[in-house]
Amino acid sequence: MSAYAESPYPDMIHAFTHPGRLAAVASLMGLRPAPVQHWRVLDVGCAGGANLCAMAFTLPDASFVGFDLDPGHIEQAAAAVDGLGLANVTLRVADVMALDPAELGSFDLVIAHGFYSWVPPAVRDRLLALCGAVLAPQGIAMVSFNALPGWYRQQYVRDLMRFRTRHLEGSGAKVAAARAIMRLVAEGASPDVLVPAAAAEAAEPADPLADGVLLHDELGEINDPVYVYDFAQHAARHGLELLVEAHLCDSMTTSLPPHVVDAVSDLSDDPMEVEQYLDFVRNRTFRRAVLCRAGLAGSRNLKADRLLGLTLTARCDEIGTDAHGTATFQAVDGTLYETDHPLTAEVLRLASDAWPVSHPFPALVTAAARELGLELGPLDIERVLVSVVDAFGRSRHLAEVRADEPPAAPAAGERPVASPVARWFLGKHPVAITLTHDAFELDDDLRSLLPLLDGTRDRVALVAAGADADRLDEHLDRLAFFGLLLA
Amino acid sequence: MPGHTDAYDALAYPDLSYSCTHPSRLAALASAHGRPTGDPRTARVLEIGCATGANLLPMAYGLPEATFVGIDLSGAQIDVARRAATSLGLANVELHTLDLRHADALGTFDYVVAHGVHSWVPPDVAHALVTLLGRIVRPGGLAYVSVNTFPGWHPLLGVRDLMQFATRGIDDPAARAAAAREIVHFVAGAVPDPDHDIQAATLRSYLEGRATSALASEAWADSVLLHDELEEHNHPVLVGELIAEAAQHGLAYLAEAELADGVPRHLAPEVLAELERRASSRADFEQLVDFVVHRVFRKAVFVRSDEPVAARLRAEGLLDLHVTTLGAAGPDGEVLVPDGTVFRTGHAPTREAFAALMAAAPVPVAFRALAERLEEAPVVAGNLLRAHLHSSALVDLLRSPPSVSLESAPPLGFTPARCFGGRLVTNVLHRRVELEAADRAVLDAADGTRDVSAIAALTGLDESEVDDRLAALRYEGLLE
Repeated sequence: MSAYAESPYPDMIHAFTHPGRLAAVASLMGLRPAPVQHWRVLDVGCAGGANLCAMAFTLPDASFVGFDLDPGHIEQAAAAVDGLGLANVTLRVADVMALDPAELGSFDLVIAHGFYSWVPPAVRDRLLALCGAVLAPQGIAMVSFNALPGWYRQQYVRDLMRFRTRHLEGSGAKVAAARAIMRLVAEGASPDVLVPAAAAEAAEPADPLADGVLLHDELGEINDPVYVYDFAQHAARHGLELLVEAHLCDSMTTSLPPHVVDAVSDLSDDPMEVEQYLDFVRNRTFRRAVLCRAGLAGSRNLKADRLLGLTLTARCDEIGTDAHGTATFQAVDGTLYETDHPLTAEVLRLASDAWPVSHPFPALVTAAARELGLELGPLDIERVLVSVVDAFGRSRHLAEVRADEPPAAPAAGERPVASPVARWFLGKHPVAITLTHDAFELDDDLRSLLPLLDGTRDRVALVAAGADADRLDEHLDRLAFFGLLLA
Repeated sequence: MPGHTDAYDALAYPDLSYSCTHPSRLAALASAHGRPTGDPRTARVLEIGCATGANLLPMAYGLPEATFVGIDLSGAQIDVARRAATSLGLANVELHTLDLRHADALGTFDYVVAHGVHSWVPPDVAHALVTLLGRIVRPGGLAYVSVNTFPGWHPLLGVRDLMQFATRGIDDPAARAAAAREIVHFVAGAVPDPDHDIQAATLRSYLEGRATSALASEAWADSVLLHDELEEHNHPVLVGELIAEAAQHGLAYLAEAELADGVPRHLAPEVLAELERRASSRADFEQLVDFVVHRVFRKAVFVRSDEPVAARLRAEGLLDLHVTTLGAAGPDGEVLVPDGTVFRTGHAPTREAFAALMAAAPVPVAFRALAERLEEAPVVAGNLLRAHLHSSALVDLLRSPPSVSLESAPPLGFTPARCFGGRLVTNVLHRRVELEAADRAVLDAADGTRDVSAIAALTGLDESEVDDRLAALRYEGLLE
């Protein structure tokens, strides 16, 4: 499955911030978000706008507002908005401290990724006050932060790098010295300390964007990790509460032994206290917290029946069925899932076959029942709802629930059209942004083909323009599979 | 800082002494670095945060010509210390309930000791401590400052945070301690993949390391736990930053008080050389070493920065020192030390030196006198210094021998050890000794008026056992 080699670039595309994904998670947690196609989305700290523009392109009737403190970032983002002809994006150089919430109106989603832990306390407080002021009644805010106790481990890397580079000028020199010292320490550190893993990772990053990340994360002036309990209390002061993690699997306890989960649950009646103990047990380093207005989170139990109003896709393979009819699926991230429920297995098969297209869940269930020659009963429906939500909670690749239908074409048309977003950012970022709002690293063949796919060329014209005639179909199939084709 | 005073008024830290804070050892450290210091026997010594005097008073007892000043923020503890000083008949000790920020008026000192202070006070007080040291350490003087250090404390802060989280809202100290222990045991057992998780590894090693101290189910362990783990203030530092700050106040880092703590022996020589090459200063080097060894704690010794210090240790410094060992002869001529160190050498004069040290123990031997009797004395000096770098229990270095004799009849237990209760007592060499209950009873009974039969009668032990235990106490340096 090397074609699946996904390379997530946290500095650029944040898959989990897409309204279609966040609305689905919020909905499964019991919220009743407005239809995502018409959301108003605010991104505080939108940087160069790649994430914002890519989302705006896939939801043309939704509107997006992006702020950033840095005029250079906003200029870069504005160029993307112009180049892509996006009419639903507003950009502004703005300081969160100076914003007037009343002037901003109401938002279904506020995104503050990589913000909370990286700004002074007053700005942090202002951010949550802003969320409290502008969120629609069923609106959500995605606020990520560095979490304790896990971040203590990262603090080692940060302290060492900052110490080593404290007298150096220039980002290149700082990055080089920081990496060199990590390498030395990784070699020299006591074998009984588990530092080398973190050190080695920082010394030899797999990620080509890592220099920027290193400068910001490790060498940045402010980096204040917090405990989730304290974060939840801070949110409560602004009339907000923690609903769920943006990646549903991060809120699940399926990876822990059941007796541990039971014992942790017994420690307190306060759900935030239990969350805090779970973070101690898991040594959580980072959170992508989804906040809602206080009083809406309720019991935080998943409501599987909400699937009936959502869409589904999947990136998993069926790797076997045993004598008792138990089917085993493996997601692209390696997560395994077993089900002895034929309808659930068939739904996962169909969803996987349809990738990168998402289909409304009821349509998939109906199609699966037809395929199996099954008369659908209420028990079957209940079972498939619970099973698919369970799979989603284990890995979003096993079963990805969304609230939207990304405009990715299942196959190349007569005159193939690649995503304009992918084409615009192709030369500017080392990865391609897909219509499902993921990031894929492309090989040279695909990188050279992508710019030609503007809808004016059929296959003959593509070959004439330099495409590899023998492998064109294969290349087009791969681009379609990656969700990079509109048509 | 009233809250801070209250914390120690309500619950005293256990009475513990710290061997390496003794002026005679600090002076030996300076000698080994080729640096003259004031004679400990007539020095002026200040201990900041002296608590009940468990560290200060035994030193004052053993150095009657020196002057000792102890300060602490807790009036309740100073009261206890004053009563102890009176009962020890000490005329060379002043004790004050005093905030260190007002300690300038106390004058200047040859030795200043601040153990367990810097990391446990608010940051502005910690800065005030460094400023104070710059003002009150005399020319030729030494300052000892212990600090909790990063990066080693990063994961430990996670343990501390866990305990604090689980005990918030619990006021009763015993209940707080119990809840804190309980949650650490629980989380350590709950971590799914402890082998690959630094926090889990920290919790486990914490549990192992603390099993006999803070996690013991004894009252004194509660107070260790409540002060060390649950204390409101705990601000570890990067040693490089501490050294840089001290430099602004005219102080230079000399070494770790326990030289064995300062040398990362397990490091490959090429890594060490590379660290030295990269370090642009002493502060840089010490800091890089801490990152490599993941240091948790330092006992840093500072000198005035305008006074020269040898770059390398000098074995000839031993000529001014007294030497002793806690080692015993093993079956094959090796030296076995209670801390687990096993020392072997093929160098006959060094073996002879160890034999002499073991025969004299617990009385230290003047190295100059030893050197006169030995072949190749400079080699022996080098070997002893290397052995000391390995373990101060294998080779202990002191500038001056204790001024108390080690024997009398009827037997007299070391008075400061009898004065302070508990299982852990301080001996004439200012080392901690752990006693069984019967030893403790014999020590308490041996007040210089009772002979063996009177001690036997008082303790309910038979005379031969009292004899044995007295011999053991003598060997442990607990008789005077």
